[in-house]
Order: sequence, then structure tokens, then C-alpha cells
Amino acid sequence: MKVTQEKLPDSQVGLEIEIPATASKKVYENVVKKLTRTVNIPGFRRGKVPRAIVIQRLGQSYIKATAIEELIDDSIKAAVKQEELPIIGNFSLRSDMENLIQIFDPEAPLTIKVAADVFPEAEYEPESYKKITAQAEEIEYSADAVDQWLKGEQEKRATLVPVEDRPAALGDLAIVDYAAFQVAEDGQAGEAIAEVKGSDFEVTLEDGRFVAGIVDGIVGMAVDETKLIPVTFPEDYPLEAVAGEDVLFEIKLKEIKFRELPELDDDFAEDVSEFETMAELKADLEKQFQEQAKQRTDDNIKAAIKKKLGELFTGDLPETMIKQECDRLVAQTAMELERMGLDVSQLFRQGDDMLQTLKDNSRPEAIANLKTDLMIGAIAKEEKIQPTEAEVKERCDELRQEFKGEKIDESRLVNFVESSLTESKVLDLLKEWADVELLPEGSLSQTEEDTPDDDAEEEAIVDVEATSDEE
Amino acid sequence: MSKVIDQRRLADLIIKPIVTEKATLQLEDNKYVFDVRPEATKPEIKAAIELLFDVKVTGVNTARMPRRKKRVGRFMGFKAQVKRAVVTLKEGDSIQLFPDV
Repeated sequence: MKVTQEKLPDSQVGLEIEIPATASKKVYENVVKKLTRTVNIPGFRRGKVPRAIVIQRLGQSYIKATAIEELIDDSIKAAVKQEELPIIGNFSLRSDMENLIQIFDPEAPLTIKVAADVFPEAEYEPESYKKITAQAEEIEYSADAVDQWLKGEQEKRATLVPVEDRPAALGDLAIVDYAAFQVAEDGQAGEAIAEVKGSDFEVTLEDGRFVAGIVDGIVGMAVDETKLIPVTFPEDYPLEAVAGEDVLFEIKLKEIKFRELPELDDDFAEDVSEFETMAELKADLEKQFQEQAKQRTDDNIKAAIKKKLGELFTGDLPETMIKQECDRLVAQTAMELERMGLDVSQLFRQGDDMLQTLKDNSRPEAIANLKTDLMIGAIAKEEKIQPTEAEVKERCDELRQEFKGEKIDESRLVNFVESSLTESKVLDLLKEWADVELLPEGSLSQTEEDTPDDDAEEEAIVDVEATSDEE
Repeated sequence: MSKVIDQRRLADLIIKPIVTEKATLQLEDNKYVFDVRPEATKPEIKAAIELLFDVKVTGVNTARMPRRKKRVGRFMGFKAQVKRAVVTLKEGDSIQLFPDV
């Protein structure tokens, strides 16, 4: 068998396979024999049909097509084995099937052309990965973190004490009935807006909660007081009927509760942790947060390096791999959604479009992932990085402990552990070589993340929508 | 009493060749099986085959096939009856039953 290779774009390889006459003859005879044994023709018992009649009844082209299909299948397998190609995915025939049937002659050699995706070679400028320049955010440890954590715990353990002898103040928890009205022309309350209404709603009186302006209005009210507060809904409010509208809110303050925070003493420390004194707790927290900051900085650096690595990759990616990665990403998203309590099957049943869009959207990410993975693989090979057996075993055991009781595919586990260890080793090495510029926290993500104001609004919307026991 | 063979209806006497296991077995003895019209006589069949396929016929055996019953709704009837003829050809002559092989 003669095989000619040819490089095609998108990490495909084109093969031209010449099948010798003897092989095609053999396959053809086999096909005819098999058909003679199995075909049902009226007037004959199965298997007793003469060859000539089989061929006449089924038609030459049908038999030839079957033979060719078999030939292509066999010869591709043989060719791949012969050429030792790292093939992934399926083959596509590049010659015209109709035409092949026309020219097929069991007595003569046959040439077929096929194309297939092959495992991509990582192409990059040699040594380029040794001088990566990347920018990463440095997460700095700040002492505030400990205080904030403590404050959070304090609030969690706060006792609510009803207040009656003073008006509402910032920091209180107010229980209100509210209803919204459109502003009539004379400035009075007009028609009620049915969608915005609630009773016994709990509002924490802090800036940025609820619709802007309301909290300010509530502050200073006394229990059982009713007040009209003019409010403008933000333009991007989820309820379209009121977004951007001027509205009057009728608020009836039913109850005020004051949060009494527990003292930050040793008792408190014992309560929230296993430490006995406040000092110990604080010291431990400091250590934890410091480690966290370091870890996050490290993660950021690695992520930045990974991103740069992907950019170094200049080769082509085969369609099969991209599709697989897309599927994997979508599956991952689906699993996350499920964990959040969404019924995924419901979501996808709405139409196949949804799934397709998801896949299309994840495409750039999939490509970037693949590029990075391939680069890491190539570097590991180049630098001869490999996890030691002991390391692999240790990590495997750890994972086995973690997923005890679940079914584990051993070979996949080892594979996974090996690749993840290799990846982290490569990244460690690259980190040493790379020229990483550390930037203060938040400086890189500013363009992507919303400004703090937006965050607050988002929270406010959630509050209004929840309309139930919060906190 | 010899019947005059009408050349013009000869071709219509032969309905179709029969290709069954039994018939293909008989091919080895240079015998060909045909369905013919029931009123066809052996001399007519011989003349017809010689005319249609340009061969020399040395013998004709015929049989009237059993009448096949056919029910159409509540009425019982019969399918058209056929006569089956086994035609023996002179050695060396043949009829091409399977073209394009």
C-alpha cells in the first residue's frame, strides 16, 4: 500500500492511499460472498442464490459502493498504522464517492483521498517561553481584612433589639410596608403600581440598599409613621414598567430593630472559632489572610503566564479538539448551573439554539485553553519535566481519600494527576523565568468589572426582589 | 390436423422468464423456464422462442399451473392462469438471462 501525506490547514492531514488490485479484488469478492449468503430474493432460499443473480438483482453500483466503503475503512486504518499518525476525530473522504464507484474496478488498483484531524504540533518561537513578560495583580494583605471578618462575624451573631423610643437611624433594621405610586401632575400620589408593593419587608438601613433614596427617607421616621418618599428608579431596573420613572413610595414604618453587636472579647473568640483568646484568633486570622493574599497573587501570576503562553502558540488547532473543548466547557457550565439549583434539562429543552449559542460563545475560551494546554505539553517535553512516581502516587491517594465511596476510573485518575502535576511544575518553572510585573490590586480588572456603584445597585435590586426574610 | 401458426401473436405468447432456484438449476441442462399464455401450444412456444431469442429449440415441456385463488372483498375469484413451459435448447445455444454481468 502506498500512502502519500500532505499537510492541510487546521491541523489536518490529507492522505492519498493507493490500494493495490489484489486488496480491492479480495474485498470485492468478500462483499459478494457475504451478500450471496445473506440476501433474500424471491424464488430462492437464502444462501442458495447464484452469484450472477445476486449481482443482477442488487445492481453493480450497490455492491461496488459497499466494497469501496469497506476498502476505505480498512485502508485508512492500515495507512494510519503504517504512517504512525496521531489521528484524532473522524476521517472525511475527499474524493467523490459517486466518481469512485464509477471508476472502481476490482481488477485494478484504486486511489482514494482522505483528510483527518491530527493531534496538533505545538508551534512557537523556540525559547520564546523563557522570556514571558506578563502583568499580574498583586493581592496585598491588609490588616483591614481581619477587622472586616471580625465585624462580619459580629453582625452574624448580633441580637436584634426592638427600638421604640427613638426614630430610625442608619444601621437599624426596619420593617416596613411599602407601595409605589405614579406621580400625578399635581405632585400628589397617582395610580398605584401593582408590581411594586410589599408588606413586612425588612430593610437594613445602610447606604446603597433598596432603591436609592428610600433609605435616606426612612431614616428619621418614627414607628407607625407613614411617609411619602419621591424616588427615581434607575434606568436599568429589572422591572421595565418603572425603570427610569419618578415614583412616590408610601412607606409605613412598622418596627425598628437595633442590632446589638457582641463584644470582641475572648468569649466571642471562643464562640466563633476553636481558639480561646482573642489574640490567638487574631494571630491565626492574620496568618490565614496573609497566606490567602500570597496564594491569590500566585494564582494571578500563573493565570497571566498561562494567557501569554496561549498567545505564543502559532499552530493550527483541529476542529475536533475545539468542538470537544467547547462541549466540555458547556458541560461544566451546566454542572455549575445545576449546583445553583437550576434545572438544566429544562433550560436546554427550550430549543437547541440555546445549546448552540452556548457552544459558540465558549469557542474563543476553548481555543485559548487548548493553546495553553498544548504549549504546556510542549514545554514539559522540551524541558523534560515530569512528575515523579512518588508525587503522583501521593496525590492520587489524596484524591482517593477525598472521593471515597465514589466510583473512580483509575487510569483516568492517574492521567489527570500526572497532567495537573506537570502543569503546575511547568508553571512554577515559567514563573521563575518570566518577567512578571506586579500591579496593585484592581488595576487590571477595572475595565472588566463594574464600578462599585453598580454593585450596590445590583444588591438593591436583589433586595427588592427578595421581598422576604433577608438576613 | 395441423394448426397454422400465426406469426404475429407469437411474441405475445411468452409472458416472462422464470428465475427461481429450480429454474437456475435447470439452466445447467440448457433448459429455460417461461410462463406462457395458457392457450399456447408446444409448437407455438417452440416457434416463439426460436423467433425471439434466435436459438434452436429441441424440446418443450408444458404444465398448467394450479389456479391461484384470489379474494377481492367478499368475492372469491381466480388470478389469471398461466402455463409454464420448460424449453430445452440445442447444445451450444443459450439465452442471456442476466445482462450486464
